[in-house]
Amino acid sequence: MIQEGLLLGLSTGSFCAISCAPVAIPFIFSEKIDDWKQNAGLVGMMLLGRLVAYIGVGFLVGALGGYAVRYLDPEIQRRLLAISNTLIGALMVAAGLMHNFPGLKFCRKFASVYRPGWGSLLYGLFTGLNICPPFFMAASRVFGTGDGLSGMIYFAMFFIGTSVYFLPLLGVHLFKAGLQTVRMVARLALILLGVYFFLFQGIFYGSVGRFQ
Amino acid sequence: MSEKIRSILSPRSAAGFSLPATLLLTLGLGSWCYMFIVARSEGTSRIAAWIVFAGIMTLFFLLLRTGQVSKYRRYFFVAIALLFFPEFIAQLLETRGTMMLGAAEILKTETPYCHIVTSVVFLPWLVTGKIIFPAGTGAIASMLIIWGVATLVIGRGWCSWACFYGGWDDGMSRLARKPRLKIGIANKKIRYFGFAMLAFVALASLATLLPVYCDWLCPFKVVTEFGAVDSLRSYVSFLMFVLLFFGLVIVLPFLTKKRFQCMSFCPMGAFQSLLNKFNLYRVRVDKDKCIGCRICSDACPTLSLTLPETEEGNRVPIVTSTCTRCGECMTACPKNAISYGYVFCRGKSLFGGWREKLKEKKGAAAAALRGITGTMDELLSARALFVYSGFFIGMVFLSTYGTGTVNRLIRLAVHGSFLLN
Amino acid sequence: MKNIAKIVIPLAALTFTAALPLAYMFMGPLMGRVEKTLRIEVDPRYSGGEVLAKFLDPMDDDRGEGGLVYPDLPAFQGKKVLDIVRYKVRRPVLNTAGGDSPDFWQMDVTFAESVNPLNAPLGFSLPVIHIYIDVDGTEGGSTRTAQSDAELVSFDPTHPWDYMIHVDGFAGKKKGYIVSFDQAYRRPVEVFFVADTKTIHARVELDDPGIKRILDGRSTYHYVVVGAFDPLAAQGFMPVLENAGPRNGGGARSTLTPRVYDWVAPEGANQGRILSSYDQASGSYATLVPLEVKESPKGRDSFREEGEKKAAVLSTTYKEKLRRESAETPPTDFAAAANRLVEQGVAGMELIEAYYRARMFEKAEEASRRILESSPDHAGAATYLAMAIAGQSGQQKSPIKSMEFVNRAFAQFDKAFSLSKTPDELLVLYQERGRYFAAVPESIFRKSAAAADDYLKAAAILKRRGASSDQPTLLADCYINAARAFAQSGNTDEAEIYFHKAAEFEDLTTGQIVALLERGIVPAALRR
Repeated sequence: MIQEGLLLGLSTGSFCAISCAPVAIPFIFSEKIDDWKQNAGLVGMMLLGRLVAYIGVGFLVGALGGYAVRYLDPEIQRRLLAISNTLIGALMVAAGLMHNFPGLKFCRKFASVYRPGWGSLLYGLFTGLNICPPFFMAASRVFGTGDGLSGMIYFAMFFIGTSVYFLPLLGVHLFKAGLQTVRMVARLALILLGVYFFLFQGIFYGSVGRFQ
Repeated sequence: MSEKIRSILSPRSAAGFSLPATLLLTLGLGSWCYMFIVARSEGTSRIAAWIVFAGIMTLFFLLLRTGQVSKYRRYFFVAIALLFFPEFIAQLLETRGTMMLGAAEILKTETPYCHIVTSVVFLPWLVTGKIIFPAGTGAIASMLIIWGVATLVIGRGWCSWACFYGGWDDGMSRLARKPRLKIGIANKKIRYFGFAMLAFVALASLATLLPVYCDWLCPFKVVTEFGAVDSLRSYVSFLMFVLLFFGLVIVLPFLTKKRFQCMSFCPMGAFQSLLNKFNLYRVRVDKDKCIGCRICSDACPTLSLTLPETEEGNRVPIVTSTCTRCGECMTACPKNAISYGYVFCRGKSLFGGWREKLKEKKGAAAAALRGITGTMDELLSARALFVYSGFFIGMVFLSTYGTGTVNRLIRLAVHGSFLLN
Repeated sequence: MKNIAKIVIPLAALTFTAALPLAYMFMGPLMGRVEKTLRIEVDPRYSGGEVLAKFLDPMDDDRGEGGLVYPDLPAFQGKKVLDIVRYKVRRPVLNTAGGDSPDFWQMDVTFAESVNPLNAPLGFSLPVIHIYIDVDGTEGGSTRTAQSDAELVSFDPTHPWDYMIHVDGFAGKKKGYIVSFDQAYRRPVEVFFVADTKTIHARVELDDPGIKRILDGRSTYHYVVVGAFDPLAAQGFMPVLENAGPRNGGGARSTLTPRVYDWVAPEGANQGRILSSYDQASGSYATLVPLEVKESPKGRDSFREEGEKKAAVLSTTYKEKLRRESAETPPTDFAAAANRLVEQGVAGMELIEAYYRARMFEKAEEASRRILESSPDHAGAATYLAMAIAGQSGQQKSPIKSMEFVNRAFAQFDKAFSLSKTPDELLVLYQERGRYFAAVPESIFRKSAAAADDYLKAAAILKRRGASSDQPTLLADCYINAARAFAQSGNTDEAEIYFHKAAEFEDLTTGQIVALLERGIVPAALRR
């Protein structure tokens, strides 16, 4: 169980990275990172959020057992995905506006409550609910166990395996040349990606059905 | 003979190339043009081929002789855009009956692949090994070759010499006498928005494994092809294409006199900027001649001439990687301080030292040698080789689509029909 | 350093500038290299999903149990519209954006020919196709056809079918339908027809829990049959009787003869034997055996992989054999032969042919023109004139001159066609023009598809001409050349069909065998 989860994560984790990259990359680059501690803190919080999401799903799928087989249905997956995308998109748009238009009233209010650490945690949590194919495969392994604890352990191991692919994000603080420009670009990209996820991958996708 | 013609035919005009150098370069380009355009045509399309050939050679000759790179380049570039889309659309109507792309065409993976798609699909391709666009592998390979070779040779000059879309906003940006909406070099976010677009389309396409730009954001769908408009989704995307085309390609360039779409929206432009360093040419500002008037940075249609922020008293603009090498700054500069140059090479030309030594010598032989080395210098100059390369690459598109459109226009005039069936 | 850069950089720029035209002129070979090096592959979701299994069905086996003939209708005459040549099953696709359904499973059926004389909305008028699929082994399903008096076949009891897909060209709203064995489930099936590839693509929506079982990667079992479409017949399968008529096919040996003209048989199964396995006495129908479609790591059928391995082993042997045969055959001195004819005062077609074989194309052109001066309608001379001009295009040093010769050759071939009337004249012309079209650079002229078309027309003439001792060899030549031309034009699907068609011939020359083995195809004669 432990070995299988870890190996599944290692072998298929690149897909997870593909799904999470549009969120992780602009977010990390949009924050002002001065040293390795800040960098590690942000990445760590994001991974923590993912871990919470994975363990939660693992517990539910394991505990619900046969009922969770419906979770494996593409249609149900799409609806759940739409919800997580809406949340991700909203957070990205808010953060992007805050960075780019700090003078706006909404942005001032948001800036007063926003902390990069919490933002990072939320990003991790929402992307952790994102059902990529490896996630689906892990769920299909777990639902037959009928046991929440096994599910949690399996998904925790799966999480460790996939997290290897996020390690390059720890090197962001090493970029010195042109970092200001990259940060400006990342902050603009946050808004664009946020709108896309919120509207096209979220609201339209979940309501009209297939609007991607 | 008018003054203008006399100046073109005189041994050396002020900013242009000498007559020998011009003739040699024109002959060189002309041979290839003949082969690519005229020799490949047959029947009535040969008339169209000759017209296109004559047009290209005239513009090239005038560019060389007058030295007005930006003006004649622009005519050439706008011609590429205006002659591309009628032939493209006509071919679609003849083979498919409609500009719309149906599910059957997607299934056959026969969707035409344009160069912009490369910037959208390269990240998913790197990760998954698959191209997330329904085109034939041959079409993809051929566009990669055309674009790749061009980029290697002229860098982001592609955006001002070859791209068959860029002529639209380039032309529109020159229609008004004065800008109604002033944007200048201070608007950094506008200039860098293109990079944000690139990051957005690359990452979103990676996440969804769908060509997001092509599905929702390409303004040029309106003048090429677009998905069948038969559902709410397709209505929305078509509306976006229309709004983006008229907004970014027509209205904003007209109002701002800047190439808005190419500068701030096109992900391929940003992609090319990242690759701009990997070729032999540069646009150089001569610090000795520059008086810091900054007319060049105002004239630049892509806001690519920045002003240094840190050095006190140093007013010489810096040419950034977003430069499309269009030559507008060269035309605008009152002191001729801006020119094309080679990487790593500044100062005297290849044969400059020899000509200086020959200056003291008298006699016909010395004069001939001076002439020959002068011409050689011109032919091997960055300006000569760059504009030659730019024209050649643009000519490759005109050889098929341009000739096709002109042929159809002749057909329209003679037979009253633009299409073949 | 600066001085070195001052010399090197401009020269490098000059080199790049000079190399530019070459890159664009030699786009064809470059394209192939770029595709291979970068491993350019389009996401298979766009074409309906990654190919899970591909089954090639022999061409010209559209005779059902062995003797069936098409109905006595003009629409069917001379066309192989009920001859399946390939069946593909693709991996299910999930979460797509285009088309009717986000999750689907696609099957592709390719025919030897396709026409639409009755203007059917889907693009094909004459075949009706049934695909019966077993997804769960013996758990459930039926061994009888969806309607009992339709195709007159039954199914292997170890693989009773669970779903049947029906496709005909007149389906309402451009859709076929899928129905479960117990009729409890029925849905439309999206159908696309691509005329260029003569392929019908059927997309089954994955919304039924029963069908969704395939998502767990299990093997499925398929029966693919085609009949002549008759909207008034049971399930659209036109009856077959002893003699063909306007409402029925002919050649049936029994009232139990299946109404199936072609069936995609698994490896080792003989269509004729299986379709005639009905029992008149007991009234039992012929029992079909299914194709197994299994999940494999590469998504390719293992049959092809085994074939490629065997071909690689045989290829060395046969290449050596070809080399020996070439060494044993002394080369003919065509130039000397031509000169002898001149000395003997021979003029006319014999001399032109000799000049042509000796690659003395200018002289061949002169001699052809002399004949045409006196006989402007001489088809043979016109053909050789075209061939001589074509030959000269390859001898020019200047690319511009070469292109001019190419264009002249194209024009002269067209003239030769207008003069050629007899099948023999046309046969030569199609072969020669096909050879030339295939030889000119594809990137500039894009004539490979036309070359393939010419070779297939030559093959059609050979078949109509009737049997002769060299016919199989000539036919195989045409198919191999057509396949090569298709491959050159990028149409690997058509190339594959015709390589396999050539492989079915028994009497192939060593050169033809080598050509097939190099493609990973083992000729039928070597499989035993």
